[in-house]
Formats: sequence, C-alpha cells, structure tokens
Amino acid sequence: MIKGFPTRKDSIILAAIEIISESGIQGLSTKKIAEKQGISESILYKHFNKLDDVLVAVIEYFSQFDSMIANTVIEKDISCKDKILEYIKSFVELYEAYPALACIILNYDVLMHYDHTHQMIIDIINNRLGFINKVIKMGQEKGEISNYYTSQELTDIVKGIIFTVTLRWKMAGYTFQLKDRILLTIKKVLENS
Amino acid sequence: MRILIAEDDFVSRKFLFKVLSQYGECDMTVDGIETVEAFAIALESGNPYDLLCLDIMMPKIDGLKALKAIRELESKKKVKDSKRCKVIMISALSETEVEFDSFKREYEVYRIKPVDIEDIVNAMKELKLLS
Repeated sequence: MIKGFPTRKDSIILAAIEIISESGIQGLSTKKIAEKQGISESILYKHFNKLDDVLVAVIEYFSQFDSMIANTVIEKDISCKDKILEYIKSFVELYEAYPALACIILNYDVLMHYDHTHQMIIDIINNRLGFINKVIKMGQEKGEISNYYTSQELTDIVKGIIFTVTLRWKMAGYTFQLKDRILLTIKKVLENS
Repeated sequence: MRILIAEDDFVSRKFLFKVLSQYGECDMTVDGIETVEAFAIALESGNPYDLLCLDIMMPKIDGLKALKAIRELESKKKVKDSKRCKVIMISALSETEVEFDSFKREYEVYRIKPVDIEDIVNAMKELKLLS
C-alpha cells in the first residue's frame, strides 16, 4: 500500500467499475462504494457530490484514450482493413486484461437513461462507430473493402460482433480469448463481405 | 540488471520477457497499481529496477499515472536524476498523442507497438544499458 497512490478519487472510480461489473448499474450506490473502499460515505462525498458524478467519472475513465487511439490509428501507413482491426484491438486488448471495464459496453443502454451520462454515451458510441464507418468508407473507395454492404451496414455488423462476443465472453466467465475471437471474426467479415 | 515489465497483454508481455531476460532479471506486472507497488518494494529494499518497460493503456491505473507516481517515489527517496530508473514507454498510442511537456521529462525512450527485438535492443543501447 503506497500513501496517496492511487488517489482516493481514482480508487472510488475503480471500485465503482467493479461494482457495476458485479451487480450492474442498478447495484451501484455510494454505500456500496464506501464499503468496498473501507471508507465512510462522507469521505466519498468529499470527492464526488453525488452518485451521478461518480458515474460521469467512470464514463470519462472508460473513454479517456478514445481520441488518442483514433488519431494514432488514422496516421498509420497500413490498409484500411488493418486500421479497423488495429483500432478495435486497442480497446479489446484492454478489456481482456480488465474485464470489469468491458461491463460499460454491456451497460450502454442503461447509462443512456441517466441524465448526466446520456449525452456522454451517445458521443462515445457516435465517435467510435463514426471512426469505423469512416475507415470502411475509405476502404471501399480504395477497393480494399467490398461494396456489397454499405459502410453503415458493415459498421453495424462490426458493432454487433463486438457487443455479442463481449457478452458471450462475460457469460462464459471470461474463459476464452476475447481479443482473438473478436478480431478473427471481424477480419473474416471484412475480407469476405 | 533488474528489469520490470509492465504490460497487460499476455503475448506482448511474454515477448518482452523472452527478449529482456537475456539481459537481466525480469519481473512482470499487469496493471498500473501492481507496477507502482513492485517498484516501491524494490526501491525500499535497496534493490531498485534499472529498467522499466511501461505500457500506457493498462488496467486500473494507466502507465502515465503510474510513471508519475514512480518518479515521485524516487524523488521522495532522493534518487539522483542520473540514478533514476530508465523508462522505455511501449504503447499502441503514438508519442505525439502523449507528448505533453510534463510527461516527456519522465521517460527516456518511446516505442510504438508492435515492437520487435531490434527495437528493444536499440532502445537499450540508446540508454547505454547495452554497448
């Protein structure tokens, strides 16, 4: 245990992610976070005014690298197919090592029903899928990706694969390789659509 | 040479261990909290790491925050700049994305994934850990 590391604020965010993963968003409460942290609720309120603020911090944490990943991948001198795979790999590699974080993907719909996180979730989904859609379009224009599906349809297929495989991974107790399964399936779709 | 490999991806971690264990004794951590804890224990026991290979996108606490904490530990312990642990950042993110001034002073070398053996050996040569 190192004094001041992680910060109390970061520890609260990590505890909230664990609780969401174990019990869902509905299971998250300041009482539970405080219990998990071994602190009083009043200490929690020194860092966050209310539970909604914790949720906002969780979503900020979840998406903190999004624009960095997109900017990095778009600059790479690789094919559009590989850009899509690289982009998705950056996320799923982290989820595989940190399964609790993947629970946010599985809770998008619930999070959209909270006033404070509604727009944040919409922005995350739009940015992530917008990136994939943009690169698929580029790939189709270059003839690297087939035009059989529209870029939007193909983006929806990719999104469906990520969501479904992640859900199945959770249902299976995280017993298979998430990254390999998702990337292999998407690669097949991009190459054979 | 004592080396700490902080990498959450199994394949990358195994690769780095295979390469770096030829040059020293390697320990491995998989998230930012474990990394700072391992570093603190080594520093406290008087047997600090000479080299840290650090990923940025790691579970729990990311590599940027972990490195900041590590430098603070060294600073509290009054480790001279010349004696502080050499750090190679190995990340999927390009350096321009994380290249803010306050952070750039904290690491010595930056490599973007995927890295190969030559990348690692050259980085160690840059740091004068290998001749």
